[in-house]
Amino acid sequence: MKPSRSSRGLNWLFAAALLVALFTGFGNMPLYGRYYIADIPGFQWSGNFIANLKVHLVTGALLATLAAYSLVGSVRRKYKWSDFSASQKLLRISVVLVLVSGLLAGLKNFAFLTPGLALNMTLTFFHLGTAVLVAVVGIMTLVIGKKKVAR
Amino acid sequence: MSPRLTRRSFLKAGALTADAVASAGLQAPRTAAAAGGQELCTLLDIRKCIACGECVSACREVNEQKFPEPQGAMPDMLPHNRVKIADWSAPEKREIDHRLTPYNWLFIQTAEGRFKGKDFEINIPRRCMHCRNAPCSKLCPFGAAFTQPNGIIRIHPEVCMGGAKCKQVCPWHIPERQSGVGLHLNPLPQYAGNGVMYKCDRCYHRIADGKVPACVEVCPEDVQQIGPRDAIAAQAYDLAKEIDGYVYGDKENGGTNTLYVSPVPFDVLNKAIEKGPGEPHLKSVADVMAAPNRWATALAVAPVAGVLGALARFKPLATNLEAEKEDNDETQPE
Repeated sequence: MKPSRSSRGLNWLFAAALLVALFTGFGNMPLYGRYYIADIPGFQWSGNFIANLKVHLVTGALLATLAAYSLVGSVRRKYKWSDFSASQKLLRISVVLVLVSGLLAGLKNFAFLTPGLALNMTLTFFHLGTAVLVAVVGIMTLVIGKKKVAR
Repeated sequence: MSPRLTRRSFLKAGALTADAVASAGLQAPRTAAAAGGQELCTLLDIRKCIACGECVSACREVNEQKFPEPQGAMPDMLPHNRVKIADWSAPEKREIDHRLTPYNWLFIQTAEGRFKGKDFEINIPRRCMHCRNAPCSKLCPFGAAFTQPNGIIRIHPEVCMGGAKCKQVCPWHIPERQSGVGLHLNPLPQYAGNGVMYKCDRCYHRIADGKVPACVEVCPEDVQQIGPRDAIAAQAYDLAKEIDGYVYGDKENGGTNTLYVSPVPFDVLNKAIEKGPGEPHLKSVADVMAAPNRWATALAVAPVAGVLGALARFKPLATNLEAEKEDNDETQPE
């Protein structure tokens, strides 16, 4: 089944949001100021950690909305897990993991939650790891190509 | 021998006695609360501070084993024009006590001026405020900065990469970097990290042992009190009311666990103190984490919007698919 124009639009929106989330996610490490990224015209904001975090959370919220939309849409359209190609399955798993870990990392920023050192590090590195996984799977999917949904 | 040294020696000698008193007497409930994980707060009645420096000396002595000890030359970090080496380890730099450094986690600011027609000179011990929702702790990209259940904000020296994000997001820019130490020397010393960040850890090891922080214990003027947050905050406002004074630290950055009480407004004091690297201001500060946390809330509810959108969008399609399936079933030969 050929995706509709609106589905293609949502796919591109998802891909764009994912790229911004990855960019701002890595910008949460003190690298962009050091390596001149924040010197690029139009990217000065990326050197400000709070601005960077806000953009990261906004794109995260957009991704979570689109992911939930896609998940429920797949259920409503009665897609089966076996309808998806291996790269699509991997991408979906990694996106769910990065969103769930991102949500937990965002929630730990509330004052009423004080995770200790071990939990703090676990949440941080789990989110970082899943983000790297999304980036690798995304690049693999682009390079190797992906099959359309079987039906 | 100078009178200052004599008094310091006296206080040092009295420290053990003070420990015993603290554990047996007035401060016992407070330290018990701390050991139980209750949120701790300090109250500084800065009218009393005489800038004797006992708290500064005690802090250095008690925490000396935590201070950085760089081994060998500083790493050659790239790019050179962006990565500045912060080396405070030379003997003369270690002795600096008029600002915050990796070897000096507490110093005393002096504000002189005139308020309501009267001259004032107020001394203000300055260190980490131990914010209730500390940006340094929440936003450390490696999880090296963290909050203990009793509200103490710490930076783990074996995890910190020295990127100084904590310093940038701290409204008072408290943590100070020492290059040439820490984890970053192992993976990619040239390309990532730059030492370890240091700041007051409220003598967490002493609190865990049922003692009070060294600065609180040795103060000859009883400038500082430490105890459960609610009790200390109530005490601070009672004192402010009593002296027609002002409180700093309760509202700043969404609330901190360091409350200063002064007879002079803090905006007046802020104008009177020296400010700069290692010398924090006394301005009112908005909650750094408020806006990110609003967006984190949006992130938490975002999937609900996605689900509702999909239910609205795909209901007709699902109905069509079911109808299509039924049609197919009816046309299938038995």
